[in-house]
Amino acid sequence: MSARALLLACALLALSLLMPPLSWSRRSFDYLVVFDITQSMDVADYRHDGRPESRLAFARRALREALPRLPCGSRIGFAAFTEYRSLMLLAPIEVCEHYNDLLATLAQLDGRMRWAEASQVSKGIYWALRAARDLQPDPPQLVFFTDGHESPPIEGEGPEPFADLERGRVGGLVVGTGGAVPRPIPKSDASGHPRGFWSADEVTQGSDPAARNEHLSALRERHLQAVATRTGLDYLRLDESTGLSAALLEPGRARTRALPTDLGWIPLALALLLVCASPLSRALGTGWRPGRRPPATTA
Amino acid sequence: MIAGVDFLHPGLLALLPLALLPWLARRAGALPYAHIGWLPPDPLGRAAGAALRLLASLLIATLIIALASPGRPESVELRTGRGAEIQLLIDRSRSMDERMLPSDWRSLSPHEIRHQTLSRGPIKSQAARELLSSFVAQRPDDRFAVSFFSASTLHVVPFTQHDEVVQAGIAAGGIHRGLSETDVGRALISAIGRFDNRPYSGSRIILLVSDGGARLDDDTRTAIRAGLERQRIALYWIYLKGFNRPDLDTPGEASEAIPEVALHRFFERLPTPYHAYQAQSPEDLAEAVADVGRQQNHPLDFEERIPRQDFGRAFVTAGLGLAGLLLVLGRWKLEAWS
Repeated sequence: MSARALLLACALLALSLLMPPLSWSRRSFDYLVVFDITQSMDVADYRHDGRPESRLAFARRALREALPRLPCGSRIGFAAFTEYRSLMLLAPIEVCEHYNDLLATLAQLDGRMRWAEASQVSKGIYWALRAARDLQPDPPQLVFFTDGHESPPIEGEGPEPFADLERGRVGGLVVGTGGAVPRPIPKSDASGHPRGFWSADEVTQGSDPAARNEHLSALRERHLQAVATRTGLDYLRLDESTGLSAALLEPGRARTRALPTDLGWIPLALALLLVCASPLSRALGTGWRPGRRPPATTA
Repeated sequence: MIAGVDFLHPGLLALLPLALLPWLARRAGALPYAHIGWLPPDPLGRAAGAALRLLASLLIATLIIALASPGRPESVELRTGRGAEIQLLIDRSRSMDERMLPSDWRSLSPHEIRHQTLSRGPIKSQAARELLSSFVAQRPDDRFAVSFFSASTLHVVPFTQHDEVVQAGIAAGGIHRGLSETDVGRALISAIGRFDNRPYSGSRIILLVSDGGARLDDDTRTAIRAGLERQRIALYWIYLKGFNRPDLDTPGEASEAIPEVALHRFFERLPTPYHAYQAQSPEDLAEAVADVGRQQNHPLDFEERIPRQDFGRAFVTAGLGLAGLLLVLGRWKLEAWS
């Protein structure tokens, strides 16, 4: 190692030790994640490890798996939807520092939180958009897990978005959760114990007497796509093969914000490069080049 | 100690073989010499060369390890301090969006109070959130859980010591108006359940913040009484008294019909500690919160989180030392040759 390289390496190492964290624009993602906790979300039409899993449990799992992939500085908050409202539970917090708390909060998000039994999904999405918009100063994007099952059933297009919502002002995803085959909806009591299934006479049916199937639930994709289009959100179907993280990490959803960033690794890496460079070049280059091979010793 | 070390970028350790480079390298600036056997043996020089290579190896290895960011992972240490486990149980019914008496209500004439309250009194839920938020901020040794309740109980944050998470839970209660119904009995049972399977650590509190009462049925009363006793939980009720709402200690048989009074009397007969604070202005509320803080300063075994300790800087410093040493030795060696 030449003295000059060493001197430079020393300087770089000192720089690495002394430089303060710099404010650096980094890409991060802010989401308000809303879970539909109505009873249709208890339909177990997903499979995990060969066992059936409910829509809500699968949605929670998808988010849990996506969380560690979000870059530090990203923020996640939670809300729950039932009746006609999305109620904020946790304002967005940073994901790396609060990872364990986020998981703990996520784990307890379930049907026992239901405060009423209706399921007006479109209005729930509108309320969620409002909640995201009102989270000042940094409104997050929306991720709304739902099967789109409206109860009471809607006629035609369903309700219009609230007048105070500006289309596209809050971006995000409606995540269609559930299978294509209509299945009976499990019933549970206030403390979460299973109580059989809903029958056709127990739920509000639509006006068409021939189609009495509101007690069965499948993913109502076309309805959700329509709501998404109306509100300027994107639509994603949550299935077993594709994860959620790719959609959450889409560059278009990122926000760049200046975060204090420790860049001490840059001079450190340069110093390493310097101290390796000369032995490397001598090991590979000059040392072994046939023309420069030192004269063989005669034994 | 070594078992407790992890790396933020363990993949970079794959570069460690680079530390062998100094041993593969031929000496730079070697002079062509016809027959090496003619040179006198130089054990000192050989030793110095080996030492330099060793130092260079060490330097490279040290820098690679520093880049991989070694450290001691976040750990938990058992400490004894003063504080409590506090479950915040906050009413999220619509009546909490109403206003309470303005701070200067005492100086207002009786017929002004109503109008002034409706027009500029602070909103109950907001005043409660602000005070709870500063209460949480002032008590770093306590562990908090946050739940809201209406017809159901919305458990937001499980017990945690992370202030920011608790604050985010409290803040979430301020987004949009409350829900229509309340079931304080169910909420209390559910809140008691949050202490299940937690080791008893000294002091447990449910801090109920609500503006209304309820006449509870016998089953609910039994469940609450048994639960509080089993889990050794003290109950504090901050009653946000609305304008023209009854006092908790309204005397007489007839007042048993008032839900708030009925609830208060049930709580008073509990075998476990109970304290009620009646707050009708932000000052009352602040006083109540401060008093809860004073009451609950019992010794408490708690786990303190020790954040991850980074050893990277120590390795960079060592690298700097090694590089300096190499620089000095290299100088000396060249001088010795010339």
